[in-house]
Amino acid sequence: MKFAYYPGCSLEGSSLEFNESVLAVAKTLGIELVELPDWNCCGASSAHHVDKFLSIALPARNMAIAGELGLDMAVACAACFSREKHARHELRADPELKSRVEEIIGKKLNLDHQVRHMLDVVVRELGIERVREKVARPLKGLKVACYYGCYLVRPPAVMEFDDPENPRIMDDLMRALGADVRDWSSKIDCCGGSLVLYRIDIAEKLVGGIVKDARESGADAIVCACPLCQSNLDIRQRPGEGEERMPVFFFTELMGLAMGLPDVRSWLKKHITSPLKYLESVGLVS
Amino acid sequence: MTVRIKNTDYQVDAAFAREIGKMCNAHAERCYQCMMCTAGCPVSYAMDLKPHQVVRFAQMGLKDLVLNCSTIWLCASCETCATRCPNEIEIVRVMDALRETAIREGIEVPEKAARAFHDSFLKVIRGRGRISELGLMTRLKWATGEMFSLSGRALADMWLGWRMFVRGKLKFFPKKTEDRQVIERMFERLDKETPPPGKGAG
Repeated sequence: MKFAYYPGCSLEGSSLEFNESVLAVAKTLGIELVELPDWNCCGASSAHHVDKFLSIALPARNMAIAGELGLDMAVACAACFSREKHARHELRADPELKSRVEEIIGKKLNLDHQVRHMLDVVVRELGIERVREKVARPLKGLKVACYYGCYLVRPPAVMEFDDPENPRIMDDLMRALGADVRDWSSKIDCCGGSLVLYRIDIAEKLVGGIVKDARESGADAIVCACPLCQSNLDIRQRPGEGEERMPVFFFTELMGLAMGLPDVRSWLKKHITSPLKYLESVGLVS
Repeated sequence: MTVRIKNTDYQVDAAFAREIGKMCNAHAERCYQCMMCTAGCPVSYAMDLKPHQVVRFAQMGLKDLVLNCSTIWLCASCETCATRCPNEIEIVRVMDALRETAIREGIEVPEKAARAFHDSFLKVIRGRGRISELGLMTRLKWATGEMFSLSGRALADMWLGWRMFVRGKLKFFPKKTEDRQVIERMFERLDKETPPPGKGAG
């Protein structure tokens, strides 16, 4: 199983533990990830705010490179995944736009290649049974709320990912790792995304609601599949009196923990809210 | 023709309504004002026009009203509205088209920090092909005049920046895209269609 891997900008910086854990987990599971040569930013939250054509041309160049490799694309960042899928959706519907984009990027686009998210690759392409086989240390006692946010699931016609109101793919994966998965109602709520950089008041309010809801579900930690969600929740939560800060994991970090991979501690040390004390308390790290 | 809303008369511009419709192909004409979009919007509490009002006023061609509202800048593009709309109106595409038009027409943006953020973000991509988070933060602080601020918020941001830096999360020289000519071509095309950013845009 081989994919053209698109890490995206956050995974080379603020979310490098996501990148490291994706690569380590993929290697253990026998998923070959070939990093897209000379990839560029997908335009993320800003390009579509300013210019539709730019918001399609930027991700299109990455798809063209994956096409040159003859591979489907596997994306780790949910925001990049969303922009690549949006571009693919628009380009497939509009041949005239496709030829204008091809002219500007100087490459041909082969839109038969799929754009997949790593969560989807692990659960649906590889299969949950293969993951279960690799579990060396089940995450017993770990009470988690799986948080999907916006980009993975919405809009459903573009993302083609999971039930947009009640996605379960990450819940199934965490259950296979042995975690105690809590049901909750904020799994698809918005964390504010990039609003954190220009209207922090709004982002903090949204993050607060999500963390509060996770607590009320009985979870001790939140699991994410998006670097924007993870960093907003990790950094911008404000625990109330007598409350501990809530650890916020990437799903691949918990996979690595359950598989007994050696670098887990170095990933977790990069969080702003350190999860180590909590994991020690439930006996999952020593 | 004008429409009076809260003691102000707004010009109805049918050509504008058609133009927005063509840009986003979002089927705003189907809207029957059930307000599902506004009910589910996580940010509507902070908006001056609610999402269902933006859709209606865009439909009516009330150009001044929809191009000057804070809503188009506060929309988080979370797509909750479009996912739940019973008429399958792609409301986020309407917001995108209105924002794009507001920029092209040089309208003064009510949410200056939002505009500064998007301009800073795109400038970093234009220069490097990829985002440098440190570069983005520096540009943004510069553009919003907070570069040398000593407010509580600014100090907290600096402390956070330091904590990210020692964790290796903020790099001085992150990798660039080698083929920046192609990135430049995309932006040159955009330059031809859009006037340069206004004041306070970095």
